[in-house]
Amino acid sequence: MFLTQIINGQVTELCLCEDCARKRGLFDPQTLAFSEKFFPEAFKERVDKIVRELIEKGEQTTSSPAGEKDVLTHCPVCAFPLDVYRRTGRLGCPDCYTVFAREFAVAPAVTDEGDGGGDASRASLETQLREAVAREDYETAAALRDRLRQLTEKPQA
Amino acid sequence: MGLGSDVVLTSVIRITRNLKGYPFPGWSTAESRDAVVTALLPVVRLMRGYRNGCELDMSELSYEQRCALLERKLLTPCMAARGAGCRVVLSPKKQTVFMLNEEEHLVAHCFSCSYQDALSAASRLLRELEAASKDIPWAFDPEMGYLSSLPSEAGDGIQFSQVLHLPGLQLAGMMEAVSRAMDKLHVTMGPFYADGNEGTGNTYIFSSVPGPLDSRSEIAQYFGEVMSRMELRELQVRCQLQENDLPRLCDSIGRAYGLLRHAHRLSLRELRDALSLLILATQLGHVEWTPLLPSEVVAQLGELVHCFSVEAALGGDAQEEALSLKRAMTMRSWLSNRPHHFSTLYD
Repeated sequence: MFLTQIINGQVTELCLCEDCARKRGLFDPQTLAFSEKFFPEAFKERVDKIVRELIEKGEQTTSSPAGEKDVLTHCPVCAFPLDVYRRTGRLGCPDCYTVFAREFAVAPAVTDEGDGGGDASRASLETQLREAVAREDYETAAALRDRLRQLTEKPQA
Repeated sequence: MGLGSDVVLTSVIRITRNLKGYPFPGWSTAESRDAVVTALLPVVRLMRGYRNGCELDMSELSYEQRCALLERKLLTPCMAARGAGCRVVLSPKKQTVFMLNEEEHLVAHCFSCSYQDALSAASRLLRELEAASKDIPWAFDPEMGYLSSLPSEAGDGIQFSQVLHLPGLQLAGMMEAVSRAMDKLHVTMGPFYADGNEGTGNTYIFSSVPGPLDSRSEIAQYFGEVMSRMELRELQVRCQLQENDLPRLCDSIGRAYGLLRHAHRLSLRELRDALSLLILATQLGHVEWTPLLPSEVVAQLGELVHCFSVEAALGGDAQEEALSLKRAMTMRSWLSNRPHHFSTLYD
């Protein structure tokens, strides 16, 4: 189960298996969406508590990882599947813009010429390239490929 | 044909808005669409000119009524396919149409022959919409603008389109070059009348790509300039055909006239293509229709294209044979009832 909490632009994502989610009472996405709308304070408190518990136990929590497994597959508000967006280019509701923001955000590394090279940057670009190819976003993929080429050519120049 | 233009048929400005907290129509339930209509219909009714407008519930419209509205371009294909919880509001003069739960929650189309008039009408409509929807929570992001079901269309929520009649460019074999040029200019184009995947009637619709917030006036100006250049190019090509390739031009027009005057069966494609060339011949002065003015004849021929298109949509494939006989008979009768003669070029 994937749960995203966005407060003042700060994104917290929880990634739990079905059993762990049930143990913490997180088993009904629709109820969660309603509780977030009608009882925002109580909802925030509850999610904060779960995050604290998970951190203490060293379980997996993510803030903005690059791996495909951490990407939300459905919008928690309207249940719109991410793969439908990837196939059709359409979203389910205005909240999908926040939930799937990473899907249509332009990778800064592609445009930021001043961004230093180095192994970390190359690894990040390679990950983004793999993601772009996976979602069949070939325009971004081509830009990322060119950027990687530039990074490879720079040390020789 | 457009006011004072032999090329521009119509200008359309599309305004879109979505409500915060509701799924987009393509991902919504009937209940959610009803809630959107409940929120937005009073806004439309508050606007000047819509109090006496014609309100249509899509679920109450028959297939034939939808086809008729679609062929008249008063509905988009998406809206014509919609069911429960989708409404259409037509202004009394049918110069504006509001569609609730089309691809977006609220879509307005402003029509006018003149691009400038369409721009003025859209500005007025936007002002009225803003005044009437002060308390409406639109789905809006300060950076992205008005959110749309297509993220690539998020922005100022406005799109400019023009329908152009381009028989000159078509005869000169330049439509592929036009298509490539439009691609580079970020203007989309497609056939206005289609027969399967192919366009007919040498009529095309061009649309601007929605831009970022606060880019409305720049895009409006840019699109207007591109379309003016297209119109000018079509007129130039017509002159070039007259001067440099007159036999081919006359041959095409003569064949089209012969088909309309003597055929006993006419497919919709043949009819649209032939009428397009007869309109071109009238505009170029190759045919005189005394006492009728060329503009009156062009308007009547344009109306015939519309009527035959609606009839074909309603008739379906089953009635195609009967309709093809009827089209040919109507055209033969139409031409024989209107005195006309070709210029000496044809003698």
